[in-house]
Amino acid sequence: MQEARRGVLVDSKFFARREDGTVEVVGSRCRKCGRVYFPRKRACMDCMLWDEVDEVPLSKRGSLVSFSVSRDPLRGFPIPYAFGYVMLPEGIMLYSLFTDCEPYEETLKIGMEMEMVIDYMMTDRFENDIICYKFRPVSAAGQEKSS
Amino acid sequence: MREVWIVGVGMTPFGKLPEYGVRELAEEAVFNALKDAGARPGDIQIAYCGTEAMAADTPMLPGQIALEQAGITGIPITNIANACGSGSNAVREAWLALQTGLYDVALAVGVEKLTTPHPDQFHVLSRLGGADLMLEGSMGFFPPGVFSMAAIKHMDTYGTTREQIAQVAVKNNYNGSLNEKAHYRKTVTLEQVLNSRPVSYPLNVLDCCPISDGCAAVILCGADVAKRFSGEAVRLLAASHKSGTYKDDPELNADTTRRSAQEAYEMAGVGPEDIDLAEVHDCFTFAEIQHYEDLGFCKKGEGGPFVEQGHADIHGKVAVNPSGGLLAKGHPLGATGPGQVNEVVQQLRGRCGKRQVPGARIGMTHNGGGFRHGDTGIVACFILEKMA
Repeated sequence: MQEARRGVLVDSKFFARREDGTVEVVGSRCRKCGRVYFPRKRACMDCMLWDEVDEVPLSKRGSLVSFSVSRDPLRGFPIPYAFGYVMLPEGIMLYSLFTDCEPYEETLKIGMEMEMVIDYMMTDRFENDIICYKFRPVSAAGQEKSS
Repeated sequence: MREVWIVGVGMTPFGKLPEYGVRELAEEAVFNALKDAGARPGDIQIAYCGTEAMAADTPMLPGQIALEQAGITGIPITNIANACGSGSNAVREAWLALQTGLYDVALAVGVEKLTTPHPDQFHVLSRLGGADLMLEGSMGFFPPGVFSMAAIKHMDTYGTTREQIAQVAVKNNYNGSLNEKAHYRKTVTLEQVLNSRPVSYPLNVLDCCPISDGCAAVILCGADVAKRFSGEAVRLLAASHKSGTYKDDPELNADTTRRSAQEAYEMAGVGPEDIDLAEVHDCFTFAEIQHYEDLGFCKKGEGGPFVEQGHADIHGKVAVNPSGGLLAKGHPLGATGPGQVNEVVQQLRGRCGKRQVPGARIGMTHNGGGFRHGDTGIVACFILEKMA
């Protein structure tokens, strides 16, 4: 669905790479109880089963739990940047950066529907472009990407 | 359960202390605590050192190195790194050691050197990010963020105002202005807080505590051996320690503080209405509003009006952070918890001068540490009582 820009994934444990070069955010689902874990695990500690999990893509839509906007220059991120939690239908509260919603303070509203995109995050000190998942308001769909 | 008394406390000033290393910090705080107790280094039978060991000069065995400087060697010394709660964990482990009956006299010390002008300073600051660097820290999460998100949620749910949140900084900086050991000793106005540099919406730089250097020490003993010491004793009625549960809770209403406070109240046989003063973990202004509610000083959702109406002032219903708290007194991670115990002990002894809480009989500390997934990594609560 999303075209991944060439770069380094922020953490390979979060993603699965598809044959067409795109990446997807994945968790693990216990074959017995169906609980979904993110980041993925090999065990289900509820069922005490090992390697009885399937890789599953996480939902790409959820609702905004809360957010903040950082103006702290120390992280090496272009500022300001917005971040927060998105509640997914499978019961996972996912930490994420937000995009396509500036000015953040006015646009972001608790409870609004958000959708996931794969996006550029930052350039690290070794000149790697770091890629991560982000969310944006569903209403922002179709707009040109700002970064 | 064995009755445990605190017979000596001591601390350094908190702040940017370029003339001190970890050794010098511990030397001064431990000397002051021993002197206060009327004890000597050889009286200490077991020691715990709470520190995240950020200093370049003591990356390993910080407790052994620091306490050697204070004349304490040979005995069991254990280092505890539990983020900003490390020092309270040292106090609780000391209390546990006394509960076993194997030891009669224990030292808990917390020490941190965070402002070293060292090339590793950037590394130090980046380590202060999310405790779980894989999941949150790698994607721009940083400490003010957790309380900013909680603040926005609280404002949305309960109508808490930005001004009520900022009032915490006004109160605690006023209290800090009366504390000669505080990192910041200047009052601030509501307007100054609201107009200070934005850090993490809606919180500004004056909503955030500083990072500080400092050390604080506490000497505990069984009540049955306390006659060995001349220091004015205070009863340690309860010592609780809990870890986070990291639930996927869209209300951002983590219960770690509530669970720890509940255990402490039950152990002490008192309730929130009995608390005269509390030193709580106000790493950010909004955090203190959450703590009023979770410690039971007011109902859920009423933390904003509680501070606005002055109920947390030195002369209010519960004096919260009469020392100035983390916001003004400062936040040298490992030293913060034992520093809170220092303040409560001196308040119960009636030795706090202009910031003295009148008639203080029962005091509480609440120390949190680390963040993960909208929750706190650890919480420790202590309840202390003045001798009749």
